[in-house]
Amino acid sequence: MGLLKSWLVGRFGGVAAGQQAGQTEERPSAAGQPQAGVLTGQGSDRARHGLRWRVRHALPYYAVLLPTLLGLLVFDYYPAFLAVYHSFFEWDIGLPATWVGIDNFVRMFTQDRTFLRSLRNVGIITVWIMFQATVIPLVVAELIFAVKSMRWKYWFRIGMILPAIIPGIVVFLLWRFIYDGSVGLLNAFLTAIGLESWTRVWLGDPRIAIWALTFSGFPWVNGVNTLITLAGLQNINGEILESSELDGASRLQRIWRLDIPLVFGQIKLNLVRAIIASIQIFEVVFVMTEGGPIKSTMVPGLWLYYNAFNYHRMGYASAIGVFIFVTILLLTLTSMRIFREERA
Amino acid sequence: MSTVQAAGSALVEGRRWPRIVRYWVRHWPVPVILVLIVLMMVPMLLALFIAAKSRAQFDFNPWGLTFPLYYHQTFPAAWRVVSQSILNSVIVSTVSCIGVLFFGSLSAYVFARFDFLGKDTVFVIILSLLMIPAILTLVPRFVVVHKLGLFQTMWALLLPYIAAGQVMAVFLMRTFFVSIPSEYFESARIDGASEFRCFWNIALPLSKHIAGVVAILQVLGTWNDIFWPYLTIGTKKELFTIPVALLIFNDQLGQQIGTQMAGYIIASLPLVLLFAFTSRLFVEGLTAGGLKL
Repeated sequence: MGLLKSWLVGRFGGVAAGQQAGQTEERPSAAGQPQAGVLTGQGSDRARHGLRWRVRHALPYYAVLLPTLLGLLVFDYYPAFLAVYHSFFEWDIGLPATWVGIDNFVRMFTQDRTFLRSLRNVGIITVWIMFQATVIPLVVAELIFAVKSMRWKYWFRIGMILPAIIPGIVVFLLWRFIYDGSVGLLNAFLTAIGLESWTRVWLGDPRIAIWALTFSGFPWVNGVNTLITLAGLQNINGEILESSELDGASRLQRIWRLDIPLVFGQIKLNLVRAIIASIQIFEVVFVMTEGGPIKSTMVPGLWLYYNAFNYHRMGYASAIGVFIFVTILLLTLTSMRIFREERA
Repeated sequence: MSTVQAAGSALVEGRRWPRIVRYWVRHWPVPVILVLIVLMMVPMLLALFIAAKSRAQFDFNPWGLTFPLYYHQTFPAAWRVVSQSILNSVIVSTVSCIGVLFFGSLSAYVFARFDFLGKDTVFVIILSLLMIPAILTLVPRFVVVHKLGLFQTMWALLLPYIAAGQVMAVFLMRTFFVSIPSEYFESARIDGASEFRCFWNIALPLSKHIAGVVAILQVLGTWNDIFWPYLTIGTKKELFTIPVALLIFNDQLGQQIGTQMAGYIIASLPLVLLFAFTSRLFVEGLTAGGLKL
């Protein structure tokens, strides 16, 4: 429970800073406070009444909460429980399940070469997305921050979000088309600028496909992350920036010494969001390459899907799911801890 | 502001550059960002250009705009293919949105206004769902839906969407309800209003904005979801949502690239239109949505 609590406080603290930026002067270090009231509550009833009264008193409230709780129970808690439970079984659809302990997890790392390959791929993707989600938004947010006209600033904020509105499936399919070997626009572009020897079937070459997949989405500007960072910049007290200017700090010095430390909460939020999203990534891979060619672009999420629905190995698929879940949890907690210490 | 710029403007003033040059030295980030935004939109622009092409035009010049434009052929053709799935997506997004708002706000109100046995524990348990990544529950949720006999029905989409969407809704709306001064409710109670009337006539009207954020989050999530409908609707064409339809028809329409691209554009239009009217809510919703695993 303590772990859960610190995790929740950490995340909501970070988000509160990103979300309400522009109105409050909230700083990440103080972000845990709003949550404290939720978790402790008030104990007045407890002192005055007996347990029976309190149960009877609570019933009508639970009646109102029932639809919410029932839905979550059936479609979220029970499946989550099943996922963990089944990960200890060998269970092929239609056959009785047998308890195998941690065999599924052992098999993952010792016998399943596709899974190991998928770990390498997801590692590549995660490192790139972490960079893409923190550094590039910071640069773009600084650019927008440097714009003096309020009207331009307003339109740029909208312009950053607009690409995020396009459904993911459309973007993935368009990139599949851009990478296409015969009619693809990337090859056409390379031919046009005289680099014909560079052209290839980008998603069809096992050595290159994972890189093509990772670097799709040029110019890699994540609008949402940019806005989160920008909100942090706009929250910085103008007097600090003015005095740094008076002291003769250059723009780069100001960014390095002032801006980055002061928007660190937002950067951390972007980082955690990136980790969470990239570890379980699989829709883009499914749409663009289906994990191929010869499973060279497999990622754990997609491998889970194939095990469950193509090979009907439900137990093994559940084990992969548990592995992804634990990885995300550990990485999130560590990154929050590391960066908290670095700030202090 | 910085030395770079100060030096720049000094230089400019010394040489008496025309006003327009001075303007752009001062506003140098504007063109840089404009170029970036255009680059970000390149895939969509390409889709728009290619949607205007006949097959022959595409073979001759696959990118850039070619004339005459064939929008009048590609768009109707694409519409015939995706119209049913657009309708399905609209139904799924709207109904799940209403469900999430109704049940979510009711629960959030209970959590915000009252104190009762186990309240804090239950609230933390609900919020803890934000820690569980969708990929973990994908397979077992499918098993549950199958066992309930919902496979290949619209309920397989609606019920899990409504259930899952409420977590964010309860969190965001509870925070808002807590911030409403309790005097509002107390005076209404003294005047004889029931607790439900307090909720319906006081809390809800005040929470229009946050409800809008929740609604946008829900619409975005359901409209763009690829995998869950792909799994649960299976091969039942008349229930396809728009991402599934695009995925399946993409391969069938392989030869008619113009029509394919027109389909992509049609699929994006509803959200772009919604965005045009509620861009502020979008910005807030997207940044708040970052909470979810």
